[in-house]
Amino acid sequence: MIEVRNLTKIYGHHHAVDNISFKVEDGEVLGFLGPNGAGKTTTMNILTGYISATSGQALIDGVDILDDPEGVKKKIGYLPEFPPVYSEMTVSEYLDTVCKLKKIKESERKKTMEAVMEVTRIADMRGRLIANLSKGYKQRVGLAQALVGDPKILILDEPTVGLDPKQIIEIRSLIKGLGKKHTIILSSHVLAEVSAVCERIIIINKGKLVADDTPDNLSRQLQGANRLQIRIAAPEKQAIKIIRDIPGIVNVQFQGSREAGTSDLVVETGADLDVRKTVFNGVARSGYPLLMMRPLDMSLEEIFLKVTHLDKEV
Amino acid sequence: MLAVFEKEFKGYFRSAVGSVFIGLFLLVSAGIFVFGYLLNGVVAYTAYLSYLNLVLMITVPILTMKTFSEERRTKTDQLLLTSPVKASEIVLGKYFAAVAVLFITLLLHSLDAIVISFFSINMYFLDVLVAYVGLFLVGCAYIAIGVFVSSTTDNQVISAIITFAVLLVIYIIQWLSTSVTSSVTTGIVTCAVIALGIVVLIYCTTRNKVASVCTAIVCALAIAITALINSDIYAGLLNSMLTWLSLIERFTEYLKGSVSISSLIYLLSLSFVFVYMTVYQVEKRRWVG
Ligand SMILES: Nc1ncnc2c1ncn2[C@@H]1O[C@H](COP(=O)(O)OP(=O)(O)OP(=O)(O)O)[C@@H](O)[C@H]1O
Ligand SMILES: [Mg+2]
Repeated sequence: MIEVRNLTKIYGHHHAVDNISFKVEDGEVLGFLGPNGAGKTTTMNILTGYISATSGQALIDGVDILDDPEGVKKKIGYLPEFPPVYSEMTVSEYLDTVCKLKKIKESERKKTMEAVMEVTRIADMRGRLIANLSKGYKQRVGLAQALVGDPKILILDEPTVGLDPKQIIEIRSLIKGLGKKHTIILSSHVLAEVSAVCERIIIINKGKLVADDTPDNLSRQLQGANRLQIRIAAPEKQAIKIIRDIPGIVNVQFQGSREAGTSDLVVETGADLDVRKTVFNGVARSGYPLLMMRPLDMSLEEIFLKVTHLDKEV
Repeated sequence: MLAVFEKEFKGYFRSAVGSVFIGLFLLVSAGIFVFGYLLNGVVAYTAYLSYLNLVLMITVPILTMKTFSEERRTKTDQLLLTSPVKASEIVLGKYFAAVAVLFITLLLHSLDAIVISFFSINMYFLDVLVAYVGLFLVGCAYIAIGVFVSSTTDNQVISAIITFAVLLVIYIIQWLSTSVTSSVTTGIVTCAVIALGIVVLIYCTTRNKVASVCTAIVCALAIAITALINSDIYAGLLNSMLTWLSLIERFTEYLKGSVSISSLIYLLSLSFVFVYMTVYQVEKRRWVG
């Protein structure tokens, strides 16, 4: 179990992490979501003992990492933001070094190495110099390193960055598989990613915790912000007028015309209102064809605005 | 600690650093040997060995520049510091790996001595051995300094330059000790400067004005009273202090074939102090970022 109490990290006058508290139960997979500079990496660095907090505590199974650094570090596998690989070593030399650093018994070293290479699918690369590996493979070697010793807790900082789409899917399903036996915290910029793998999501922004909930609950909360992008085969003025006449629309913005004779619009509706049907019917009645309609994903920034806003309302 | 040692030691030969160090050391010392010893017909092999101190001053910064700087720059220190390994084990592992490379280098170098001993009649095995031990201990102290400097920066070039500068200052201290005047005034000024240093240190660590001023007054009184009672104490004080501080002075003892406990302790504790400071530096960095 991981318990974080009032964790704060201050650099100069800058609060990188600002009074964050949360708990992760055994076997839980927690997603850490936040924009650049939110404090995700800083929090993870504190949890793994790489840096110390300015104040507050991080407890692993009830033990503060400062009280028993070696004991706690043994329980954690960490994949930092930049995989900590030695480029002048080959993959197997590197993993051998990691095994020794993590005090894996000599008799189990070979088995451990084979197992982590198998799981992360880098067995073919064992003889290659890490310097010559692609970014994605370096990331996998970093992940393999975190898995050495089969630690109870895995802390993964943006594990899918730099991977191609096929690898992303692979790594996600790998993490899901690991989640059955391990407690995992993983960070990401992408809501879809954490929703796909995590049972719980924590959103932080500017060092502050702004939401802590299941993906389902979060997306339900976020649905209020309905925005549609539509394309109508009509000139700007007509298009805007047609949309304005549809009830429930609070805002229409003209976005330009990508195809000749058409208009692209972004339509905003009031909270918790699905206007897709009425938009379709309204446009159909006007006689101008509707060429495209798609819900706009909220950007991370918008999600934070929304979530912080919800917080205030509650 | 063994894991770190092994990784570092092998690392010296995976990258060019280890080979460059050994190669450079042997090459430069061979140059000195040929031009300073063979061609000039200098008799004492140990006199030749005294020049190797200079070679160490140039090569040790190269050996140690990467130890912590490079790990910090490439963020591989995250692996070390989040593994179940103590900071002291990391520092000692790295320190002893560099020491091992130095040991191998001197071992290779001593092959020279063995070859020469076949042709030379006035070479005493024990003297040469003691001189090598001295050289090794001096090298160990240099390495400790280099490792410490490396832990303070993430730029290996800066690390090498600062290390070299520090070693140069140490070298100059020895030279100063023979050239400063031994007058009473110099002695008093020296004491005053040291007292001032202590006061500043107290103020910086405690931020307590009263304590600092009190210390200053006590020191000033002590210096003044001693000067009134027996001003001879101050004569030559700076010289003996510098000599005591001088690492080279200790090394010279070894070259003369004598090992005193005090110089052994001096050189070992110099290493110890810098290794300890490195551990402190590595720990501290976690707090201040
Ligand atoms: N060593 C440091 N010194 C000063 N400020 C720092 C340091 N490390 C991080 N910060 C600051 O702390 C804040 C949080 O950084 P952090 O790396 O934790 O963000 P993040 O959520 O991981 O962002 P990203 O998504 O870009 O990885 C940033 O504003 C950053 O500039
Ligand atoms: Mg980050």
